[in-house]
Amino acid sequence: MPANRFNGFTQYGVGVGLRIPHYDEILSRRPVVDWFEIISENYMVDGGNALATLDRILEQYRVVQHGVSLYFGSAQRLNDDHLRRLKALTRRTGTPWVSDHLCWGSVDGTYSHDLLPLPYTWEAVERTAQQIRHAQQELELPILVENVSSYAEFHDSEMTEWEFLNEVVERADCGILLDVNNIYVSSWNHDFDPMTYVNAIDPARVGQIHIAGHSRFEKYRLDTHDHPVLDPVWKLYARAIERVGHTATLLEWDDRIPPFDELHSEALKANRWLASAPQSPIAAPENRHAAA
Amino acid sequence: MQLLELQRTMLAELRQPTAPEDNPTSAAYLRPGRRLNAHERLGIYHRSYWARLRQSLAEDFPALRAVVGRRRFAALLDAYLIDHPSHSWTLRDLGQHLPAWLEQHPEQAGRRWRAALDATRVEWAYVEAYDVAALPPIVADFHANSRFALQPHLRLLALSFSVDELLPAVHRDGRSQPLPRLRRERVWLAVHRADDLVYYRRLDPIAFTLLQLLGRGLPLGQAVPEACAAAPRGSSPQSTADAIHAALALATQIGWLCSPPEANPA
Repeated sequence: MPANRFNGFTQYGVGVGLRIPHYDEILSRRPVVDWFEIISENYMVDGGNALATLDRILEQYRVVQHGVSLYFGSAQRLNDDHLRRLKALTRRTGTPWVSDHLCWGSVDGTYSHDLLPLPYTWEAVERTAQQIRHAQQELELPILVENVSSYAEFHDSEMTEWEFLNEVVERADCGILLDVNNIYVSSWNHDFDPMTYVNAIDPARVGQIHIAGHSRFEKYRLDTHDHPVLDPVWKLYARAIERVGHTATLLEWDDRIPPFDELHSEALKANRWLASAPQSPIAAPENRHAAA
Repeated sequence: MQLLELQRTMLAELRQPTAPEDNPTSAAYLRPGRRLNAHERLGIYHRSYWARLRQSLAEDFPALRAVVGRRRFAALLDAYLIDHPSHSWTLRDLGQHLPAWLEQHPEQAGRRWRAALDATRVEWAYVEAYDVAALPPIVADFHANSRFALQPHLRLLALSFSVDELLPAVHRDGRSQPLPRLRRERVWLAVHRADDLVYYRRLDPIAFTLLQLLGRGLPLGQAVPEACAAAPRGSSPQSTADAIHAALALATQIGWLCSPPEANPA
C-alpha cells in the first residue's frame, strides 16, 4: 500500500540509514536522498554533536525514527524514561511513524542490548500487543513493528512466526516494518519457506520494508548488515512489493560501511521493483490466523 | 514456562561468562534445529551479548586499555560486566560505574592502577561531556553574594598522572605513533564541550578549587578565600589574586558559569 495510516499516509520512496561516517559528506554535498532513517536511541540525548548534526540534517531531509531497545516483547512494562525521551525526539524530527522490533531484550532492569526472540505463545501475543498499544498511545504516532532475525526457537511456541506477527499487529492495531532480509535469515536458520512468510503477512498493515545484507556461516546465517543485499532477499522483496505495493523501503548497512554513493546505489536498486509496483494491495493474507 | 520466567532464565544464561556450549544445563527451553543444537543456538546470542558490551566499553575506554595492556583490559572488562551489567536502554551508560568499580578493584589493573584509575575517570568524563545538556552561559556580575552553577558538561578532575596527554594519542586513527609516556604529576583538569566538541584543559589549582566550590553553590565571597588556600606554597598575595581574576575571566570567556538552579525556570 503506497500510503496508509501506519506510515502516516506518506510516500517516502527509498531511504538509507543515517550513519556517522557519512555525516560530513551528506552535510557538505547534500546528495538527493528520499529520506534517512535514524536509530532513535543515538539521538535521545540532551545535547552535543549528535543532536546538532541531526538538526542540520532535518533542515534538508525527511527523517524517520527506528528504535532498537523499546523491547515490546518484554514481560515487564516498557521503560517510562525511554518512552519520554523517544517522544521528545519525535517532536524534534517530525517522524511520521516510529518503528521498533518484535522482540524482547531486558528483564528486571537489566538490558541485553540485543534483539532476543520471543516464544510464539498466546501469552506473548497478548503482552506484546498490550505494550505496543501503550507505546502508541504515549507517543501519539503510528508504530510499525519489525520482524527480527532469529537463531533460536522455543519449545513453548504455539504458532509460526508469521502467525505470531499477524496476531500481534492485529491486536495492537499497529503496522508492520517488514524486514525481508530477516525473514530470509530466519527461514534458513529454522528451515521454513521464506515465501510462505511473505505471502502470509497482512499487506494492508505494511508501512515500511527493510532490506539488508547478511553473513553466511556453515551452519547458520547471521544478520550482520555488512554486505550488499543478496539475491534471495531481493526475490523476497520483489514478492513483498508485488503484494504490498509501493512502500517506503530502507537499506540497512551498519558495519563495514561503504562510501555513501555506493551505499545509496545499493538502496536505489529497490526502484527496479517499486517502479512496477501495484497501486493497491492485491491479496488477502494466506493462513493468517493460527489455531487458538 | 511463563514469559517472565523464560526471559529471566535466558538473560541469566547470556550473562554467564561460560559459553552455553560448555554448560549442559543451559538452553533447556530451546528447540534443537537441524544444524545446531539448543546450546549452539543460545551460543550465538551469548557471543553477541559479550561482544557487543565489550566493544562498547572498548570504544569508550581506549586510554584505559593503553595503560593496562590489551590482555588485562579484556579480563577487567569481563569482571566489570559481571558486576555491572547494563541497566540502561542505551549503551552510552554502560561504563558509568567503571571509575568507582576500578577504585574498589585495584587488582584488576595491576601495578598501574593509579594511572588506570585516572584514565578511566577522564574517559568517563568525556562520555558525559559529549552529550549532556548545555545551559545558557551568563555574563557574571561578580560580587560577594554571587552564586553560580557550572555548565552540566563541565567535569573537574584532580589527577595524579598526565593521562590528558595520552587521550589525544589513543583517539587518533592508526597506531603507528608511539604513545606518550605517562608522567606522575598533579593535574587539575577540566573536561568540557565547546562547539559540540569535547576539550581537555589544564587548570591551576586555584582555578580548579574555585570552580569546584562555585559548582557546589558557595557564594563567591566564601569560595574565593577557600580557593586562595589552594595556592602553591610561597605564592604572593598578588599572584594569588591574579589567579582568582584569571580563573573568573576564563570561566566567563568559555561560558562555564550559568545561573544557579533556583534562577533557572527549568
